[in-house]
Amino acid sequence: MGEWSRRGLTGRIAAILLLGLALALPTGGASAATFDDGYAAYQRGDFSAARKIWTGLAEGGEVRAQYNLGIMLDEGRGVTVDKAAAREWWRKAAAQNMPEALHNLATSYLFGTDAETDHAEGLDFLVRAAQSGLGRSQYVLGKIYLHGRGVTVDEAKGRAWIEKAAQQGHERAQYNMGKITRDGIGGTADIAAAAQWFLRAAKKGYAKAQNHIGTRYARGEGIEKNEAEALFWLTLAARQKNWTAEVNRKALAAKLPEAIVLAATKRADHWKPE
Amino acid sequence: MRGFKRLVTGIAAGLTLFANLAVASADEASFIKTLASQAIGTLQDQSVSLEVREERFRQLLHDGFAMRKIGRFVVGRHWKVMSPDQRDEYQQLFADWVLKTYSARLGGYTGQRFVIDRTVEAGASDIYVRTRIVQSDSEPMRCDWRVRSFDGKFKVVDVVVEGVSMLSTQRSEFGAVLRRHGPDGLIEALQIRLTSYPATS
Repeated sequence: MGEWSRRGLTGRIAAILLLGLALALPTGGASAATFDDGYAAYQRGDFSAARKIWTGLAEGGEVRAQYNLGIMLDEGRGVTVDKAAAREWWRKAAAQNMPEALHNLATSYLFGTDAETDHAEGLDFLVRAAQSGLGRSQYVLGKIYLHGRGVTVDEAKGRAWIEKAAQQGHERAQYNMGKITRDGIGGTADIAAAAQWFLRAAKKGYAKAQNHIGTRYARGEGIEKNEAEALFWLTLAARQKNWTAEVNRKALAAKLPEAIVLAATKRADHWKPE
Repeated sequence: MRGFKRLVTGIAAGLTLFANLAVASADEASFIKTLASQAIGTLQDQSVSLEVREERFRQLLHDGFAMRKIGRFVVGRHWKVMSPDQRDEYQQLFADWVLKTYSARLGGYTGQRFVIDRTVEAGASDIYVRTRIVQSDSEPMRCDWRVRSFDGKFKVVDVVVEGVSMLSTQRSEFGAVLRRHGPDGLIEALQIRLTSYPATS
């Protein structure tokens, strides 16, 4: 009896182990597609395959699949644009605290032009995204506080959020910090700091900042006067079709020696953004 | 006799007009055909990422679209109250917005094929080139291109995807923002919308 029982127990253990092994092994060709398979299909432009793969995964809670499905629906990739359905997927991803989903959800509610525009809701998502450290969200939140869009104007708060984004290298935020420190919005004015912020954004290729640093070099405002440098930055901005920069460039070029104008043009030809 | 002469003259004039129109339509159709084949060539280059393919596609659209005219049209009467700097900034953002929207909607697919169905008159000076974008795995998408000649160069002034005009959609969307927040509000709205993040890997 004891012998029989031992054999029975061993057999049962072996059977359980075998079953466990069978469950752990992939089942022939029926292995489930992964998120990366979906991304490869997306990159190929096979949006319908990507959608199929990601829908299965998203329903199972895969946060990146939820987020990407939101993008496909929002942009109409391989599917009719459906902003409401896009928001639904982003909401699910946002519920898992995915910062990019929070940001996109926020921007789809802020300034929306469809029936779903909801500034308060958008703001709530935006604050969460900004607090998680996303530069773009911090910048947008800063602008909202500066202009009082759906909130009471709070310049100090606006400045603080924009500065956070600027410190992370966000070029528009850096340009805005230039204007904020120049005018003393929400804090003290500092024309030297303003010039440095404009210069940082200009080096990234932001046309408006290039125009501003160009005029500052021309006047010696917050930075040592240097007309050759001024012409160089104004030329770069004008090439990006910045109307004011073109006016400023023409006026400055007309009063500078030809050699300086040629040198600035040549430098601009070879310039690349940081 | 005079009546007959007038009739003949009328028919002759009509025929000339028809012939000119047919030539013009063929030119516009061939402009769209060239634009489409360049676009498809760009989009099917699998040696680069989807983002790079779409960036190149955006450049093609930028060159083929009368972007500034369209941009000006969609803000309507608000254009007059915008300063030169506001106009500049708006036009730049508008182009980015339109190109982002349409490169996502029309681009990116594999196995895409453009079929030019026919051309029809649109108003006094424009031609609609009616096309279908045929994809291997879904229903064909109807896409009509409104083409106008500017100094002998053809440019797209509107795209109607599945019956929905880009011009009227943007005009009504932007109009709502302009009425509530003015030009600065629209500029800010476009800036904010353009900050949205793309798909993640």
